[in-house]
Formats: sequence, structure tokens, C-alpha cells
Amino acid sequence: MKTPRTLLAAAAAALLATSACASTGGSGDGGDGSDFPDGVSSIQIVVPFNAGGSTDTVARLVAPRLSEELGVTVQVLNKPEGNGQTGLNEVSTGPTDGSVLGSTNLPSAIISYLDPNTDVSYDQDSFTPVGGIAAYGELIVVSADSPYSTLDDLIEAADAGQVNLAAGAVDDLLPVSTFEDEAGVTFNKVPFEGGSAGKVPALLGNKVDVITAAPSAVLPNVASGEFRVLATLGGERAPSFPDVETVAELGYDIAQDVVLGFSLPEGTPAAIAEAYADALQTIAEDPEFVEAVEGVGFGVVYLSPEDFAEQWSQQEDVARPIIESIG
Amino acid sequence: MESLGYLADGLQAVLAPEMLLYALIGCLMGMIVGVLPGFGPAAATALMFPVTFSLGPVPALIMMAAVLYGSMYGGSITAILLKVPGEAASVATTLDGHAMAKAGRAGPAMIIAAVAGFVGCMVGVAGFVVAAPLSRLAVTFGPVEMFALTVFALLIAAGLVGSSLVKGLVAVTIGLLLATIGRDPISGVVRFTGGADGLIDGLDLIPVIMGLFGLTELFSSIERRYTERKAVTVGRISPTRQDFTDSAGPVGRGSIIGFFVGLLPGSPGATAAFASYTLERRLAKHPEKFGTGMVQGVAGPESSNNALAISTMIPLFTLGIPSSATMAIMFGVFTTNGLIPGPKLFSDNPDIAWTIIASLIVGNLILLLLNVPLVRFWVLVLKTPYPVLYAIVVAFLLIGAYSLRNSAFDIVVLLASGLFGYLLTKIDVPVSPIALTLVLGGLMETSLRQSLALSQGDPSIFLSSTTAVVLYVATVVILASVAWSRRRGIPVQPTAEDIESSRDTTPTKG
Repeated sequence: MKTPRTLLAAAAAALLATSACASTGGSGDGGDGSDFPDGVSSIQIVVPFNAGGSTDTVARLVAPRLSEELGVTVQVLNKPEGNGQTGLNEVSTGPTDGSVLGSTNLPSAIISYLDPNTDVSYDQDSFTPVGGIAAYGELIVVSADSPYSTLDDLIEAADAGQVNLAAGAVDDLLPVSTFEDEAGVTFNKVPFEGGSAGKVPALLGNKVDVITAAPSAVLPNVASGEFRVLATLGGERAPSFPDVETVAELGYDIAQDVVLGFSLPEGTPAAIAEAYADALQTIAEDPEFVEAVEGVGFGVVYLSPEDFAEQWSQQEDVARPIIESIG
Repeated sequence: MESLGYLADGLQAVLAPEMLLYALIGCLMGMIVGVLPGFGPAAATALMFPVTFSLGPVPALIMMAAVLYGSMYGGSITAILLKVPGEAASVATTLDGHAMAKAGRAGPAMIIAAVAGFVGCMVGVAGFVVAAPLSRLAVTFGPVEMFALTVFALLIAAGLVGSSLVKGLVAVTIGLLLATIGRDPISGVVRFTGGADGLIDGLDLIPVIMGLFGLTELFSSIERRYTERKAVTVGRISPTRQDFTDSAGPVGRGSIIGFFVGLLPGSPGATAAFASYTLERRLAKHPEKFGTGMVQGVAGPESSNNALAISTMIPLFTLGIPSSATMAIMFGVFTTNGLIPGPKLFSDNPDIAWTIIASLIVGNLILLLLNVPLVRFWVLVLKTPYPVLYAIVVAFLLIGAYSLRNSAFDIVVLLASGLFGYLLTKIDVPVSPIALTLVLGGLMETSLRQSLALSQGDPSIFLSSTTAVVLYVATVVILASVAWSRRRGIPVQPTAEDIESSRDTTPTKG
């Protein structure tokens, strides 16, 4: 009998969701974390984005598996306020007993503190890296009836005249500006906030000529033949779009990956970070997880805590001058 | 009709006891959350999202859809009984719904709201079945058209809701000013926060409307407490035949307005209910009676809200576009279950798509059957003596304002909005256009700036679209007709607030 059990699970989840609001933090053992996760009653993954977005989806695919690995209930908590700064700030100053895990995306976590319009008190050093689990490159997408059938067509047109590109906030301008610098052209950037939710309809209605978007956001429209993908800005081809070449393959020497990873608050004992890193690695090797993540348009890419920290530093070095120039 | 065949299969699948149970749970949970002040559909679906995790795609989506319309009806209950709208879309319902409750007609108001909501949903579902190609409407609406629509909505609200056009425009201007507070929607620069961290993301809509309506109502009632010692009497529960006759037209028109507005991107949702309300007021033989408890003023907006709730799913199902916060969560329900909403959903998984659509019919029927008997229970709320009732309401308002973002600052916003709303009603400036403007202000600014970015600063782009020109012309024509009829001596239309205070100074009799 499957039904009563799933119902029970649902009821239990509802109870937990409500109790989670009441008990943040946790006692903490105060030790070196070697007995983790014994001293922790539940784990919260803080996602600095809205429920239903791509980061959230991946976090929610990780949560039940993490719970299985560590033997502790894992909940996902969305803190999208202030472009995610509220959530990231909460993680950086959170308890060091391993009860709060932050979903830290690169480069958006970096941009959130480099952004000259805001004033936050955290940076890379405020987090203890756990590792990366998935990655993708933004796609350069045009409408199927667009005159541009290759990336070169697009760049030629941008060189010759006005090409309208729907671009989001600073997050989006970073890959776009980097690409513009490399290709030596300038697009007329039309601001579309809120990620792909605004850009996809704009391209469907031919209100703009080109958009950049996460693979998951354009998957339905590419599959139906309404959109054409010209290239990916990432370092690797997207698993959901194996035929789409990277910009590097097309002769532009850049690679910009969005890395979905996790971090703990600064000062968390190494033993806890290792326990998480081991769990994350096991999850990354689970074929069912790989399939689920590829289903939403990402590739599973495991990064160890060290590699993740290095990726963070590298991306920050690239982002800083660009943000200073556009901010 | 291939789709009708699929729909029949879907109905069969939904009628399995298991699925009915999920729909019932969703309705109940949605209603319970929706009744709490400050918790509307977006909060309810976000809260229930994790619960659906282990259910599998079809039960999860059935349950989430049920939560959505359950919470919408929950919001209407508080709008009618307490004048506390749970979200911007139920603001229009408070105007006459609460006036009906005060006149002892809370029962009919809630039953009409439930029936109108049901019909609205059915129109939405019918549209889903026959008019999926209409979803293309969503993408023809770009920044230029969206700007025209916001201009239309705001000027119409200014012209029709208040007692005078000027005072309506004052309200809209106040709303636009308030909407500019916080992060610039384009560049992210923080504006007009006065250094308050709580304002960085702008004024949160929910505490503002809870303050403008719920608290303002409370302050007004303190003023007249000696005449209102007794609780409101509750008359008959079921609506009269006349109520149903009066509601038929508004429900039909409201459903159609709601259906079409729901197809548009950017969720200008609250526009539909306001448009329906103002349309009914224009068409009524006695427009001056609106605000005193006209059943048309409940039936129209409620049907329009519910038709909209269904039709906002159309862009998600057919194009993969989540056009509101609630739909973004639904998008998440799809993807976490390994489904991708969009053009391929109907070709790859027609059984799933049509089972969910069929569940909308069955779920709404469950909601209706659940609610009509419950009305008897809800009206008991009104029998609570005023001081006790409002003490409880204030407690819930404070909790609601705080718990949305766990922010004490939102309590300040709530209290300030309440005081501000009270002052405005004293000088007869209507507060409902402020709520609408606060919803649409950001959209208006974004679309204005997007349009100018597209044309590189050339303002002629605003007249480059036929849809936009039609909307501007309609705005001018409607406003001119309002001005003309006022000049001809049609009695000045009092605001809802005004009528209530004048009525309440005379003791209510049984």
C-alpha cells in the first residue's frame, strides 16, 4: 500500500515545515564536530532564491539524498529577499554546528557582495566551502525565425547595427559584458528582471533579438522548435544540448560557468565540512540523481571543498573589474 | 474535439478516491492558510510546496492547484467578514462584500462569492480546453503594450473608484510614489529608503493592504464605538433569488475579464478584479449604491479572480512561462517531479496535463460543496462582540505582518499604513487605487524603461503598437464619459469608506 505511506510522509513533512520555523539554530556540541551529525536534530538548506527556480530545484533534489546520507531530516528554506543577500548573510553568521547549510551559487553569491549598490558584511572568507554539485553555462538563444543562424551572424549584426539583447540584473551583465569584450561588439541591452521568466516571453514575442538564459529555462521552447541555441557560454557543452557548441569552440576564448555549490558558516569545524563533502560526493555519483539533474538542464559536476574554493576565488577575480566598470 | 476526449479520461483519473483526497486536503489546507490575514495564494503554495515532494507529479499538482484556489476563497472570507484582504486581488471584494456583512448579509455575500468563484473557475477551465492557442496572447504583450495596460488600469481605477477624479488621481499618485521605494527594478540601485534596511526590497504589499483596509477599518470603528457596542446582526444565510439574478451578468463579464487578464505576463492580476468592479459600477442602474453592499460588487470581482487563477496556468502549461510568483512555484512542482511544463507537455504527457485540468473542475466542486455549509460557521465570527473580535483581528494582523518575512519592520509598515489609510478616508481619498498602484507601479516603471531601452530613448515607440493605441483611446473615452456623466448631475459617487461611516453613525437595528 503506497498511498497511506506517502500521505503520512506528507503529513510529517507539513509538521516539520511548521516546527522548523520555531527552532532555528540548535544546541551545537561546541566540540570539533567529530560526532556530527549526532548533535543536530535537523538541517536547513538556505536557498537565497525563490522556490521553483533552478538553484532551488537542485537544492531540493539534494535535500532528501543528504538526509539519507547523514540520517538527519533536511529542509529547504527559501530566503530570496534582497537579491539573496538576506539568506547569504544568515548563512555566513549562522550556527557552526552544521545545522545550517547555505546554497552558494557562483557567481551570484560573489556578485551579491561585490555589487556597489549594496553594503553587506560578508565575503568569501565568511563561508566554509563544502563543494560544488552541478554546473551549467548560460545559453545564447534566438528565435527559430531569427535571421541569425550562427553566433558569427549575430556578432556581425551587432557590429553593423542595433541588436536588442534581453539582459537581467548584474548577474546577467557579467557573462554578457565578458562576451562583448571578447567579441568586440556591443549589444543594446534591454533590462528584463526576474531571470528567464521575463526573457523567454520577450523572445517568444520577438520583442528582443537575443537572450541569454539557463538551459533549464529554454528547454521547453527549444524542444518545441521555437528557439534556436547559438552557443553556450560555459566551458563544457550542456548535457541537455549536446549539439550546441561552446563559445570557446567557436573561437572566443572565454568560459563562464555557473556553479551550484554549498557552503557552511565561517568557523564550522573541519570534520563537519568533510562529512558534508563526503555526502555530496556520494550523491553526485548516484545515477538517479545525475538523471534528475540533467532532466532540469544542468550537468552534475562534483567539486571538492578545495576546488570549489578555488573556483570561487577565480570567478571573483574575473568578476571584480567587470562589476567595477559597469557599477 | 480531441481535447474533450482527453478531458474525459482526465476526469476518470481524478475521480479515483486517492486523487479526490489530495484535492480535498489541498482545498482545506489552502483555505486554512488563506483565512489567516496576510497569507494569500503565493504564501499558501510556498508553504505547501515541500509537502508535495514525495507525492509524485499528478497528486502534487492536483494538491497545489487545490491549495491555490482554496487559499483564494480563504482570502475572500476575511475580505468579506473583516475587511482584511489577503492579497491585492481581493481588495475589490472588500468594498461591497464587507458592506454586505455589516448589513447582516455576510451569508449571502460568502455564498455568492463561492458560487461566483466556482463559475469563474469553470470559465477558466473551459478556456483551457478550447483556447489553449490564446496563450499566444501572452507573448504579443511586450513592454510597450504592458505600459499601456498599466496606464489604462491606473487611470480607470482613479476615475471610477473614488468620489471624484481628482481624489482618485491623488490616490494613484500616492501609490506610484510608494511603489518607487526600494530597489530600482532595472539597475538595483536602492532608492528612497531613508536608510531603513526593511525598505530595501520596497514596501511589502501585504502589510500595506492589511493596514490600509483592516487597520483603517478598526480605527474608524473606534471613532464610533458607542453606537457599535453590539455585534453585527446576521440575517439569512442563503442568498435570495434576486441576489442570484443580480449576480448572473457580473459573473459572466467578470469571468471573461479575469480569463483574458490571466493570460498576460507579469501578473497584473489585481487589475482584473478592479476592472470587473468598475465595469459593474458603470453598468449598474444605481452606481451610487456601490459600496453600500451591492451583490454585483462581490460577484464580479470574485468570478474574475478565480477565472484568472485558472487562466494564469495556461501560459505555464502551454509555453512554460510562470507569469506570477504562484506560478513560479507550480513550475517548481513540475520540474521537481521530472516534468517540464511547456509546448511539449501536451504532446509528451497528455494524460498528466489533462488529469490536472480535470482536477480543477472536481477540486472546485469540492471547494464549493465544502464551503456552502461552512458559511454558517464563518458568520459566527461576526457575532463576536466588536471589541473582542477586533482584538483578535489585530493580533492576527500583527502576526501575519511579522511572519511573512520574519520582519518586525513589516509591523511598523502595517501600523503606519493603517494610520495613513485612516487619515486618507477622513479627507475622502479612496484607498483602493493605492493598493492597485502598489501592485502595478513596478510593472509600469519596468515596462516604461524597457520600451525606452528598445527604442534607445525615442518616445514614439509607445504608439508603435495597435494594442497600446487601443488601450490609450479606451482610457480617454472612459474617463471622458465619467466626467460627462458627473457634469450632467449624476450624484457624486461616494467612496465605500464614506458610506460605511455615514451608515454606522446610525445605530443598526435587527
